[in-house]
Amino acid sequence: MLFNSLTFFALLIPTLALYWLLPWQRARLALLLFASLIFYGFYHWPSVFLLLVTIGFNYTVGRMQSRRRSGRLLAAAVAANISLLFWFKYAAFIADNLNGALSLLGVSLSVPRPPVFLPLGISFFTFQVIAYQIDVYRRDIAAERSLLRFAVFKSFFPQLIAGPIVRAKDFLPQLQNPARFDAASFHHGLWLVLVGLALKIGVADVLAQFANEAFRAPLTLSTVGAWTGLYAYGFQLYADFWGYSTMAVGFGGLFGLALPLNFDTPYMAASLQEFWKRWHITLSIWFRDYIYILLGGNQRRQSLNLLVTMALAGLWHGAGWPFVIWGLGHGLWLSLERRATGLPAKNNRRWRCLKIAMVFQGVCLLWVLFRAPTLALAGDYYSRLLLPPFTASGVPQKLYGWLAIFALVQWPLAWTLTERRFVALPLKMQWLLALVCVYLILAYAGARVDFIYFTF
Amino acid sequence: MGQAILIAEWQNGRAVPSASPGFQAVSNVGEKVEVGAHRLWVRSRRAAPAAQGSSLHKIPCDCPMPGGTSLKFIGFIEPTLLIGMKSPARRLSYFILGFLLSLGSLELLVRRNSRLFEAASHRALAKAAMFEQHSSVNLLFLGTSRTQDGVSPDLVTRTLGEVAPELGVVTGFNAAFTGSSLDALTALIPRFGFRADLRVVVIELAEPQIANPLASWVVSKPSPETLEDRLADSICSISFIRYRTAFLSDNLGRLPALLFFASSLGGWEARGVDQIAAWLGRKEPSAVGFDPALWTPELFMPTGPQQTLSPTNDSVATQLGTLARQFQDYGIKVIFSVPPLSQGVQGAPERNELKPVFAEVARRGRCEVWNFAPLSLPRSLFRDPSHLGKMGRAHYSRALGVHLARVLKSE
Repeated sequence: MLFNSLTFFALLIPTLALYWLLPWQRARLALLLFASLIFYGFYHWPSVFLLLVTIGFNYTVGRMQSRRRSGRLLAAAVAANISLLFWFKYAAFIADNLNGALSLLGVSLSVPRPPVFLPLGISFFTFQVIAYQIDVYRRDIAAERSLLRFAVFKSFFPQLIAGPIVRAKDFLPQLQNPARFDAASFHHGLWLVLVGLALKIGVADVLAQFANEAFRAPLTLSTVGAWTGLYAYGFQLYADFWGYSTMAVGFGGLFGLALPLNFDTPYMAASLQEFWKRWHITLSIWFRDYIYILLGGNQRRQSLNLLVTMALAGLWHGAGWPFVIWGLGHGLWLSLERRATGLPAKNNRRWRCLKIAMVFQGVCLLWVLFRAPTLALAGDYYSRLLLPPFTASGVPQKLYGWLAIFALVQWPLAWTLTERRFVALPLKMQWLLALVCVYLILAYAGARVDFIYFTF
Repeated sequence: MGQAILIAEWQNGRAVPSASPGFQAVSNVGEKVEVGAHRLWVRSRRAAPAAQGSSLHKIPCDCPMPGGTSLKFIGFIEPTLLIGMKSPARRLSYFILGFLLSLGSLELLVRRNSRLFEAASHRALAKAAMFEQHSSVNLLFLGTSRTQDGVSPDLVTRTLGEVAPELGVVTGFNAAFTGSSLDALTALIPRFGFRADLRVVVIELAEPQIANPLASWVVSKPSPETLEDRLADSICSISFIRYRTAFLSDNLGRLPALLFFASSLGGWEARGVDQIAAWLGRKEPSAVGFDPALWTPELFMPTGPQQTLSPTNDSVATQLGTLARQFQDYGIKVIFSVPPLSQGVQGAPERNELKPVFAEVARRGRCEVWNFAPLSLPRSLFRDPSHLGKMGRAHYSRALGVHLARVLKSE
């Protein structure tokens, strides 16, 4: 069920009404769990069983861990969760690569490709429970006693499929007592949902048409066409993920539950390190806390740690070599950036603008690997971007307008999304902004394009 | 009235809690602050400049308080943290109410002009709706962008006034649109044909019109299959959702003309600037140096010999013949006209291959076909190889006027 579908809202509205009418916390939690399972099962109902099994397994291990702290148990729990992720997400990729290697070696043996369905959001909820298990083991949090609360923590539908990756220490305490209706939080939540929908439908889905066209046959593009197609994808992904993350936080707010910020105008970052503090913030924190620091962090072999962490982050996004190379590219850039910290820094505005432009350009160049389904297609795209003949034909004029408008509007828009600033705006301004969102949703609805991060 | 309650002081760029009894810490917009008997809510985290000559940081606000008092400003609790405002619940209610009222107004607007909003969703429907807003139309021009760009009804009217004043004022409308197809024209006939004042329809006969695919609004919608489709269908009872494609950027541009000044347009004005100019009463310049001998089309008459056509062309000729007869059933004369092409268009089928089709259309439709495509015209008349420019429009409109005079006189 997509956030941008009518079916989702048909589920959300009665759930929300009933949630605030119910005075008992257990009933509210049961309702949230029920709605979350419908939400998840609507797309592929057998996946619900997988979700329930992982809930039951991780709850039990957590309880055992709280009774007797065991490294082996932690290792087993992590291994079990990772195995599930590997089976569903990477088994086919591994089989393909093994078969490729075997045929290169001239071995006439074929590893069967498992016909598995990729359950939605498996990468997200697996990482969420791994973090839970580690935190319980480290005694950073107490294992959750209530299975119902744990199930809601694991399956809360606004964040189930594409994040934010909620940490137990932030979320579980909110489920202890019935949330009191907070009008300002609800008000702000409504605005976030409207903006998120407008970003998804009115920006991301519109730019998707241009980006898809550009990546369909890159060799037919002119140089300018390739660059604008790349920017279209860069902003499509940006608006898509921003829209999703904003809606997720907004839906949480409607239920009186705070979800962490996951997106903070990353194209305003003046370094790649800053970019990763602004893009998919909860995933970056996860990789920092549970991979990078475990590998040694900044203490030893920093460059290697960065490379490994980012390669894994790439692999997390998708089972394919382009994703791995994309991750390695980011890792290499991050380690070079760390080495360059010794250079004299200029702290004026002009220098920062230049750095923002450079980071944006570099991130966009790496998006080619993120978008291209194969390395060959990525190579073709890079050749049109960077190699002669340098031509300028075939760029839809509309695209310039869309990119320019979005690039300019993102800052004031982002300003309204934090610290409940929207609530403080004059009412006339609120109505005007809400109607602009409604306009975008009305005019451009209908494409029903999946959120990009749903596939990860 | 106008009493200030100070709950923080501004010192060295930071707000320091004062000795005021109302002080308490708050951190988020919407959070409640109790100041004595009054309840306020944090409205913003932004600072306003401190009052001149004072160490106090005063924030103006306008909060009517219970009991007739009015709190004019309060101070900071922490740097950039506090301003009073209305109750968040009341604010939320006002927001939702205002938002729903705005949507209600939009619904009312769209519902009252539903035909126009529906028309805005496609250029063909927009032309039909504009046509309906004209009080008198005697000549109708149908076709693709070649005709849309190439015919100014006002110039045709002026030409007719010059060459055949006895006909009186003959008004016209250009309903041609980019991407027109035979199916689209067939679907539009009931909307054009009902007018008693319509005397002649000039239909473009050209390769694009024959080859163009079905327009989106002609294609019937599939029946809903999924829950999502059924929900989408059910919310279409809300007019602004049903006609939401009118809000797309391309279509939105059609709304002002449709809503406010459709009757002052001749139909060829595709660009907003031309529409506004026409609305303001600007007249198109007449053809300068018009040479009637140069503008004599190749004629195909209904009495011509039968042609042997390929199955595809045969079906096209039948369809065009049927189209003509449908108009004739309403008592409207039909002329097919092949618009001029620049010499730059190499191997245009209108110059050779399609001639048997033209002859057969004339025969089956019992009407004349005027072929302007083989004429050797100056390149300066064209905007691009297949579309006339401003001067080209003046010349082609005059040529049509001259030949239409003959047809109208023979009625």
